[in-house]
Amino acid sequence: MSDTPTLVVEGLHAEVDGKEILKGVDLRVPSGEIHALMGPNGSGKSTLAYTLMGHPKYTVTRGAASFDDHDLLSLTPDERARLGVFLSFQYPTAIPGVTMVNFLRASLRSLGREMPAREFMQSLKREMDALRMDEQFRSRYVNEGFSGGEKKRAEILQMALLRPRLAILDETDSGLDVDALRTVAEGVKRLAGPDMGILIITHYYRILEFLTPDVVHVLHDGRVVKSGGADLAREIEHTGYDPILGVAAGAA
Amino acid sequence: MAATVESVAGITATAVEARAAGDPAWLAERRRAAWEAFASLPMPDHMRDEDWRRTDIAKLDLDAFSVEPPTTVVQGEALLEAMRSLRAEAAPDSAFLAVTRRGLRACDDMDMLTAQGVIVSTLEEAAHNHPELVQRALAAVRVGESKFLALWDALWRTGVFVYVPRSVDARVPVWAAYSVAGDNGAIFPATLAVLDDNASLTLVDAYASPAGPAPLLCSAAALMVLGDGARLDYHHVQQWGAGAWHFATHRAVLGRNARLRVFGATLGSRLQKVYWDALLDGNGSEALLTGVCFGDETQHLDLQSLQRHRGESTHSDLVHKVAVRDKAVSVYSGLIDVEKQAQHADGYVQNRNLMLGEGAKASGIPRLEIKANDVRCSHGVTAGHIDDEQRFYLESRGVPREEADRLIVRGFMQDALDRTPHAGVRDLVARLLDAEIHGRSQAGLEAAEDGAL
Amino acid sequence: MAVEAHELTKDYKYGFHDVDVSVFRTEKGLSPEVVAAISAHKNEPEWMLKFRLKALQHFEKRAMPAWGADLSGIDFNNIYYYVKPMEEQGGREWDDVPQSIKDTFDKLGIPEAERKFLAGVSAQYDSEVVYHNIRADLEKLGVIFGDCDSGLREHPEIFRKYFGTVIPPNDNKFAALNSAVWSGGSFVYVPKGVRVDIPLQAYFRINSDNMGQFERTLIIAEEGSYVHYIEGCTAPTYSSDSLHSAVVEIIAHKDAHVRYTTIQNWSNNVYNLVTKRAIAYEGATVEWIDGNLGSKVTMKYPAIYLMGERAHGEVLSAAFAGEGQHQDAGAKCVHVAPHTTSNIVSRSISKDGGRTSYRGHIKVYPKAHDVKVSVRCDALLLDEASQSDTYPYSDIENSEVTFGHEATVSKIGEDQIFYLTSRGIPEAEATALIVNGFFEPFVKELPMEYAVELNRLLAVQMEGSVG
Repeated sequence: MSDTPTLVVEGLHAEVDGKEILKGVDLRVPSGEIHALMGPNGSGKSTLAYTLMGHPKYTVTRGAASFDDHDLLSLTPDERARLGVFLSFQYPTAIPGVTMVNFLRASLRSLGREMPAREFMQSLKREMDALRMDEQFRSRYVNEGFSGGEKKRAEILQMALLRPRLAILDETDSGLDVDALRTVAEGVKRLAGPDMGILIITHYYRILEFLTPDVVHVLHDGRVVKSGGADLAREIEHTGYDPILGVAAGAA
Repeated sequence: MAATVESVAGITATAVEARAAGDPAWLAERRRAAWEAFASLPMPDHMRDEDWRRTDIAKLDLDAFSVEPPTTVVQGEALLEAMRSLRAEAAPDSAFLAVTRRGLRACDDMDMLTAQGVIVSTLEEAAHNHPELVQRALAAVRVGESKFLALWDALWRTGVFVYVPRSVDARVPVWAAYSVAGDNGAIFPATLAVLDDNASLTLVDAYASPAGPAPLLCSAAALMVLGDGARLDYHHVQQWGAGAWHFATHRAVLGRNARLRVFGATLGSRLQKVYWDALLDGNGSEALLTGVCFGDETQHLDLQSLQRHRGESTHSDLVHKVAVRDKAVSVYSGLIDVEKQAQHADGYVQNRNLMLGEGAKASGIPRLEIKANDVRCSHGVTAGHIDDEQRFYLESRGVPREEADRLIVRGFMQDALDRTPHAGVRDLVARLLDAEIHGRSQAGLEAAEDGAL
Repeated sequence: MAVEAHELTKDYKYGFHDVDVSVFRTEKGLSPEVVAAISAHKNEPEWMLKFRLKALQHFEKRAMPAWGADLSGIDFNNIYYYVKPMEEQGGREWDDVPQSIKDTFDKLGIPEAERKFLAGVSAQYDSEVVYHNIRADLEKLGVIFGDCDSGLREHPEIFRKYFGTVIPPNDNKFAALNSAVWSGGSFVYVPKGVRVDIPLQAYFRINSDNMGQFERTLIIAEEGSYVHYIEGCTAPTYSSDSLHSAVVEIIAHKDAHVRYTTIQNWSNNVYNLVTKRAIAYEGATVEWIDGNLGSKVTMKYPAIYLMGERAHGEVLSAAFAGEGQHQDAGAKCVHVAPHTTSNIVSRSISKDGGRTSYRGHIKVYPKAHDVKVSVRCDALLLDEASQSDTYPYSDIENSEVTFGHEATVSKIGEDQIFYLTSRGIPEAEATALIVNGFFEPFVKELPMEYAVELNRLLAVQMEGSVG
């Protein structure tokens, strides 16, 4: 067990519906750092997120992924969650008939962090207020009829309650207006710290204005083709992906 | 069932023998067995048979019909011309076969297909020349399966047969036109198609008789066998006159990864009971079925469909759009049957009924029998009248009510039309529907009565 | 039970002489003699005896239904068609009660006294005190809430006016059977304009008479009244009788509102064949909330005939079929009058080889214009062995109608399981959460105690099932 729990991805290949999407991804995200994963559409960003969380549709064909020296790939999604991995979904799934409260309590219970009802409701209120979420969301059914912004906020709410050690945010900024984006980003920022590694998957630069990354990776055609500092993200913002990919391809 | 005088012309054992005389032995045997079964089976009864609960054929008298046109009446031409021009409008390049009670009246433009190795001929001929292929298709029907199929099995003649060899994409469609003219005609269209692995074909069955109340009986079957990876686009356009009793079974058996698309337009007949059977036997097979139906006056139009999922990862999707006005009645009954081992099946049925007249009726009975669990099946039936909101919107844009209604009905049919595999057939049916919508019934063709076919 | 016994003794003073009062049971099987004995024992008026005998004739003539569940296991000759309440219902020993049932009682927190009753070990449940207090309140309002036997005796005109008018004996074979041998069941009469705020529960009057095989319930709601009637319970309920054939008739007069909630969880030996039908007059509303959890076979299609303008019908149906069970349930709405509406929602789950079937019929008559109907059926199959069917019939004979029916059958969505497991919830628990959510539209219509109990019961049923 190292001092700094780290997400280590080595040569990861994954396919869905028989088609290979990840073609050898290498990545290291230590606790305490914020990494951004960018790349053009179809590069495999969401596939990586789903694969790390263990979605049944994705099959790993080669390579390894571990967190805090524990192999991830042999664990079920709930086991990964218990290890401290959290995925903020790009399209959070609706679970009709199950209220947010019941769902959150079940989750906390499963993660061994059950608390008395009163304390829980207080925590919930505190976090919801911070995310500017209306009280009535508590009794709404999970993600049912939520707008895009409400869904993303609900994801970050969960992150706040579950306190993961590794948070993967899949396009958390997509579909958000400026104010919602700020609220969500600040929510994440509040949670960031030395005990949490964060991997922000994004297509655009916007969210990174609020959450300055320590490292920026570019994913292209299923591989990380370039890594750099925060300014890499700014560069992409100005010039788009082509020049960067052109350079990378040429260097290959 | 015995006619007072057993003749070659009536629906009688003699007529069966007359046909059997020209058949190879195996087929003659099948005909006779079918006739026996037909004679012993009771007529479907709306009190006793669930399938016929809403379709009462008590007034049908099989003895009244002639399988041969009267020798004293001259052979008609106008209707055949009308059939020809329909085909010219929709698919001018197609190989064309015209079948009447007396046999094959036209066989045009086969060359393109023959050059590819595609076999197109009458079914009678194919029975002699390619018995194994014909048997493959006939195997889809069990002799004596039902009263009307047994009747068909015993009395069909001529017919159309198509065989597409392995990996051949038939370059032009095959158009089979069946027509009857003159009172009390009985015809038994028989279109059989066998597609070998990875073959593809577009096929059209057109049924028509002259517009008018002349009684007519049709018991038809179209049997299609698709090999692995084969693709078939099958269309049928029913324009029998308003006195016709139409019974048909359109059945396809699909091999692995085969794809079937069916488009059926129902405009004619006094009463019809049509079966669509898509048997998804092969893993990965897929069937897309689309129907448009327009009922007027007192037409009774019954469609019964079966989507049977037997293989794994099979997909079926049926859309049946119905518009009924005056006192017309539509019945749709369907079954999505997913067998226990047919995991990852997807089956859908949509039946939408637009009721345009006070006396019109629509019944929808889409059923599901699901025995595998990793599946997704759903169905929906709606019945309604013209949406007041839509009507108001168009009227507010200056469109008078009658025209607004026509636009809405046409709009209602549009997505079904969009699913027609062959563009020419789509445009033809769109034109026919437009005529219906404008109040001109398309039951039967406006062909000057000039004889008997 | 003192009151009950007194009432019975009163009967016997005037009625019956030939038979041993403490134990009365007709011989096995069905015949005019058996029917006559039942009627005589109850000291019924002539018209009822005639009614019963005519119904028996019809029962014998009528063929078994050719559709629906498999009823070949019913042996009509091997059934006692009448057992007097004094007798132990099944005479089961507590030791014979299956451990799984005892465990379920534990998990549901069923009180000790109730357990013995539900398990068929004791014939009576002492709820007399509760019942008495409620009775007093109701009497003040003019509401009648008793059993049908008493209803016939004490309120003959009202009873005769409505009895058998919604479901005539020749309606179907099992209605005929019930009409011949009916006993027990509730009689409810709510006068004009009266709102009964507390749900009337059959449970209050429970004894083996009312948990009987051939209950007959008749509910009459006069103009502008409101009543909610609940029968059954979520806890597993043992019955030694293998055939239950009940009839429920509801008449909702102008602007009346009747809600009838049923939750049945009969033991796995029971054939539960029920005919339930309501007539809704002008502006009336009838709601059937129908939960089917138990029995070996249930065939039940609550129906509403919308006879008056602006009448409204609702059927909310939930079914759970486990191993060896077939829930063949559904709804029927018949629109006879114009400006009527109906809404049907059906949710069912099959697991471990269980089978659920939805069977429904919507009919809109030619004179019924401006009608809106919505039907929505969803079924979940939890494993490979289970089966689900949907047989919806619709006959629309008026064009000024908006009718929609939709049904889906699938397994629990992979994405839903993934979402919950990604939050640390193990798969089995995730499945249970989803199942609860699936039945939520039904559960939220139940009074609180039932809802809580039902949710707990579902959790128990889901244990040990992993997708």
